Amino acid sequence: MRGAVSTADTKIVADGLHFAYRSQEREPVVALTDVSFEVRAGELLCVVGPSGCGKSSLISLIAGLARPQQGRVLVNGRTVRGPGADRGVVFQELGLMPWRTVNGNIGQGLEIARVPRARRDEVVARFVAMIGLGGFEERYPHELSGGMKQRVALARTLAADPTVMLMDEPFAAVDAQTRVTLQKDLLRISMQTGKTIVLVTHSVEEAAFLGDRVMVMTRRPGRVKEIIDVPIPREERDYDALAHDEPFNALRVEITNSVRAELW
Amino acid sequence: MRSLRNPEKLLGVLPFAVLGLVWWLVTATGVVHRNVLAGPPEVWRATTDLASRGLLQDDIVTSLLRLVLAMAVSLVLGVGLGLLAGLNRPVSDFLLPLVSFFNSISGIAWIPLAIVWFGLGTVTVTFVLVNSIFFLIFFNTVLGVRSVPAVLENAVKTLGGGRRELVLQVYLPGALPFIMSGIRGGFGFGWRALIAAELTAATSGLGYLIYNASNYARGDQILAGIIVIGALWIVIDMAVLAPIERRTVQRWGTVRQV
Repeated sequence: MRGAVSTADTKIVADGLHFAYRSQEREPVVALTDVSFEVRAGELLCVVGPSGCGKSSLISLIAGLARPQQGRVLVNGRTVRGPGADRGVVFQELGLMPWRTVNGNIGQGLEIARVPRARRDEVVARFVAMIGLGGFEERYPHELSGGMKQRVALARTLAADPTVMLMDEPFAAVDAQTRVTLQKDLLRISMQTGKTIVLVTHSVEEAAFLGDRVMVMTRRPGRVKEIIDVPIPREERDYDALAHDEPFNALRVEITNSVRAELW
Repeated sequence: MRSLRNPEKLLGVLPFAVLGLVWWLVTATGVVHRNVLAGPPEVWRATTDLASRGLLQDDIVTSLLRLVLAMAVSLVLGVGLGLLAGLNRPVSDFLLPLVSFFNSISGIAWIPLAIVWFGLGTVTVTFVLVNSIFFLIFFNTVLGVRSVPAVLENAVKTLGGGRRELVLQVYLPGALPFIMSGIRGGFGFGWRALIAAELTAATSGLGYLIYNASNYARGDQILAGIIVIGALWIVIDMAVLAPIERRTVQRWGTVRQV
């Protein structure tokens, strides 16, 4: 294993990943090459990088929705060979079932896991409360605002109780105000659940605010450029307070410059 | 009753009133002779006469049962094979040319052969109907399955779903708006093919009622049968098909703008 030392609280190991796919014009595109990193249990790792640097591919590889041509991903010490309920994904396009209500969508993972009805209802009710969607249980996705749909997608993934949560630009499609609320929700929920989270974003702001560490990717083909620690406990993360926090602003500038250097 | 309070719906009733009025005028004034075109009073009498003897009801039930039977067979075959073809490239490459070939042949073209195979009656009529309905449902199912966004499939996979869950929780409901429009169109195609088939290949049903009436030169009964056929269709579409669509795909917000 190159440059990776696995310990008991290592949750995800990416080891020498190389991934290429065919574009719509059938041209081979190398999305990722020689990508190795680790994610610790309970950590929130944010991945930033220029467009097309393979951030989304990285999520697909960990989720098992795509297979690398070289290298492998280990989750809980086992090589990923396909998708599974232990790795939940919050997709950029959300992927809520239009024919299921809020309750039906949140409970889908439990339904698939054949959790008995009574227990399922209990868990669903708990997550509806957690995301503040009480009263909307029987609504269909098209009746919800963007932020509400986003919360339902998050709750659906959480309710299936994965050990790892993968989030692909989850807040890209909502307005700025809603985004801040959702980010705070995510911090709170991550502390409540202790999930290991990998969150891909194109926003340095978001990455610095949410991440325990921020992984910067190079432009395509994506490699790991550097991983930057954000040594601020999650409970102390507050936009207003951090706006005037010198060390935090210095980190933000550092990450911004690192990403900007990859833009050309 | 709600529709009567709705001016737009009322506008749809108006042409029927105009048509009825013209019909009544040309027959009552003798512009068109009664032996050529029976007037509304005669047709009404023929209808009530057929109904009082129970003949009309029997033929309606027979025809509707045949339609429902053919729809059930077509649904099972069409959705089943449509799912297979929609989810499997090789299967669709294998099936589509064949299905296209048979689709180009009007269902009623099979009537002569079907009579030779199955004689006169429900089997022949159903065979012809399935040939009219199946293709519509099959093609709509294939199209519907292919229209399901990949992210829904990925979502269910990452929730731990396998093949079974993908079909039941993603592809089938995802294809349902298309399947529904296939069913609706299929009932329309089937209803027309049904009457055509019953004209020649059956000894009961509304088509046979018309055919039989012509043997006795009963223009009033022919018109009665035709009006019942058209009216029944409107009832089926408004009372059965539209509500199903409202309760499912419209409520999900997945109706496609075609």
